[in-house]
Amino acid sequence: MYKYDDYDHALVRERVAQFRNQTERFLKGELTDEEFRPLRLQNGLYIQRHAPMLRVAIPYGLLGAKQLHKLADIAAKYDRNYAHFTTRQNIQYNWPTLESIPDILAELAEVEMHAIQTSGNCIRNTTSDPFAGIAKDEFVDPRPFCELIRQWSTFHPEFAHLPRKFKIAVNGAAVDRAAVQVHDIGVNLTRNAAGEVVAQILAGGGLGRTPVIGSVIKNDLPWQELLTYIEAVMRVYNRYGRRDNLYKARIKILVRAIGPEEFAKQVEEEWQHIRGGVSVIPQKEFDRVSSFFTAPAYQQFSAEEVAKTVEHNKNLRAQHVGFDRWLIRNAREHRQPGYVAISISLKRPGIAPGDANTAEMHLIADLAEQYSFGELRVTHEQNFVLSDVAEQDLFELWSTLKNHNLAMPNIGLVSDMIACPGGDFCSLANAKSIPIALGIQEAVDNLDYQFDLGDLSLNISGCINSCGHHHIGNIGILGVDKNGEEWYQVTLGGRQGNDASIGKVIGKSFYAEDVPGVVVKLLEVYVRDRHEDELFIDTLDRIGADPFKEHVYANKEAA
Amino acid sequence: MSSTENKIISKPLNGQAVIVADEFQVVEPGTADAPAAIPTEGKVLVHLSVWEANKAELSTRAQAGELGVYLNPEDNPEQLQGDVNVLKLIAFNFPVFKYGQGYSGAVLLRTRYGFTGDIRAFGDIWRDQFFFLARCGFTQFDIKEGKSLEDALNAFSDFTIPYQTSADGSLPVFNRRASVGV
Repeated sequence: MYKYDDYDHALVRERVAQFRNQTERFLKGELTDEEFRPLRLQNGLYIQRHAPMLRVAIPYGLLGAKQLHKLADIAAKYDRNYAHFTTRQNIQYNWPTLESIPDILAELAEVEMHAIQTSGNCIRNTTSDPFAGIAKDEFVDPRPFCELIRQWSTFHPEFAHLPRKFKIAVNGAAVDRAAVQVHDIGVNLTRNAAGEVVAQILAGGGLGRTPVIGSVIKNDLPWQELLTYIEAVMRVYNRYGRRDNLYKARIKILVRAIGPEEFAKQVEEEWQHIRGGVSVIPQKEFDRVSSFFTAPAYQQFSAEEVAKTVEHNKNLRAQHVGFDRWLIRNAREHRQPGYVAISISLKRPGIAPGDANTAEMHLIADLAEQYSFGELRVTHEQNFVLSDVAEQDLFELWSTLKNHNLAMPNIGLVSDMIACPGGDFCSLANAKSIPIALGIQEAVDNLDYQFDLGDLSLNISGCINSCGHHHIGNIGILGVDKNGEEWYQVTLGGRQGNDASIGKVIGKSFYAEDVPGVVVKLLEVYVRDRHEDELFIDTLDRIGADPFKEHVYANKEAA
Repeated sequence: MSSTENKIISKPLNGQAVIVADEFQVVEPGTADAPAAIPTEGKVLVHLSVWEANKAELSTRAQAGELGVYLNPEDNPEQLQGDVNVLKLIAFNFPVFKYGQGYSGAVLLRTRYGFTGDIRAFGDIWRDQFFFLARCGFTQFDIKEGKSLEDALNAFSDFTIPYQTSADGSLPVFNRRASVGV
């Protein structure tokens, strides 16, 4: 993974000093709440219900073991021994004190981490494919480009006061695992006929109050021009995006208002002035950055050895149903013979989705060192990935994880739900998310049942800001406020990936205690009406939402 | 805290930041029916619309550095493209700090329209915006009421080597890396 040089180190150190000074001025009363607000937000610091919340950037979800150890240490020293991994591949602390934040930042800087631009109306952490560099369907490794975007966007002076937050996602594979269609800018990297790397640029996608699928505004952009083109998009948005209405300030509203063609035209005009300029990525810099994202020193297994290991694991799978299930759901094929990528699920019964405690973080970091070349990825589904695990180590790894309640074999199943922290912590939320998630987990607790249901995404957001990505869950649940009461709206038919689509509301909202029962009813319809080998979303596509609605609302007068 | 009235920070592009006396008064444009009278003496900042309507008679004062033109967030700096050789001072009003159009406006004036005079920021701006403003080509900083100008002088050294280019002429850090053969 990327290693800081002197320039990177200096910048992050200077940031710590700057924020320490800003915090001190605020505590001395030299900055008002209103003045401090944008400053702390650009550093990921929210004032929440109980305490400040600090969001730390995990650039494009890539994390070293040493960094995770540090994150665990911070949770122990400054928080309550746990942290929350987010849908944007970041980590959040819910209980630090304001006074301690500069010290936390200083500790993060020691391991090349920061909280820069993790909130506020600026360019946020770039997100990407958690299987970058190992996926078989990859055309172009997105990580060097993510790092180049990270550096370019960090403290970009012109784009620090945008109309609204701005999120960029980069994908380089046939299957979109970065949700590029629901980002302010989505980048699809591929190769042209001549084998050169080119980018397709989407703009104006997003979730939130007005969910929109992004529009393609540029094809075949040479990779060298990626930053100049993004700069052109940003400049058009910064000049013409709305600032009069918070809910109409995202780029998607601008793109829709003038139309994607007109928007693309304006960007193109702007780009003509800056293309070929000093921000063109030099080959030398690309090579330098790329050199940090090379394959680790894999052990070379012969086909015979691989077959032998598979056979050995097969016997173990027959003896240990948990191991078998874990491999079915949590292992993913790898480019390198004899290796797989392993997901560690942070969706455990009774534990808030995406939460991990100090001991678990240390353990996962140790396992990454022991089994995966010291590297991890955080996924937007709020799980971990050990990207390079030798198949011969799988049983040992599973056994250790199992002993620590970290071998939940549920990746992609209904209990692998995405959820924001919700009203228990977040001051923006209209309703709680965690008790809803736990209630549903309890209702679908039986693993045989979950395996029978198969791939199914269930996403929960505590408010319309949609941090839980409810719009793109097959089943989406949204907390809404009705006269001071918490209600939940249910949507059906959302999906992420290449055929990303926005779910539709099924009808009137529900009380919190009814939500698990509603989910169970939706699942009942699927089980009743499915054809063989049909996923939940396929059945829904075939039969439509009506049978689901009928079953859910039968004999029920929801408010 | 000393009054910031009649004092601003001046920081020429890539030069030192210093506190200087300043006499410019912002003249609100008034309404279409009752346009504001432009004082005939003293240094004034008039709104873009006033400048456009009275360019002929105001040009001499502008050239003498006695009159500058200011833009509100929704104004288009492109309209001043033809005036960059006449004007010595263009200002951006930040009624609320988060109205960030002026950052792009200044970049365009510097990098596209070739404006070499002073660019001033005034309104809801204070120390914590100055580093970014300076990088976008601003050279004068009229701090909001009640904030320390002396303290704000430190803002310009918050960061030594930024990652990306902007209107301050600094090259992307990758050029430095390349030049030392990294």
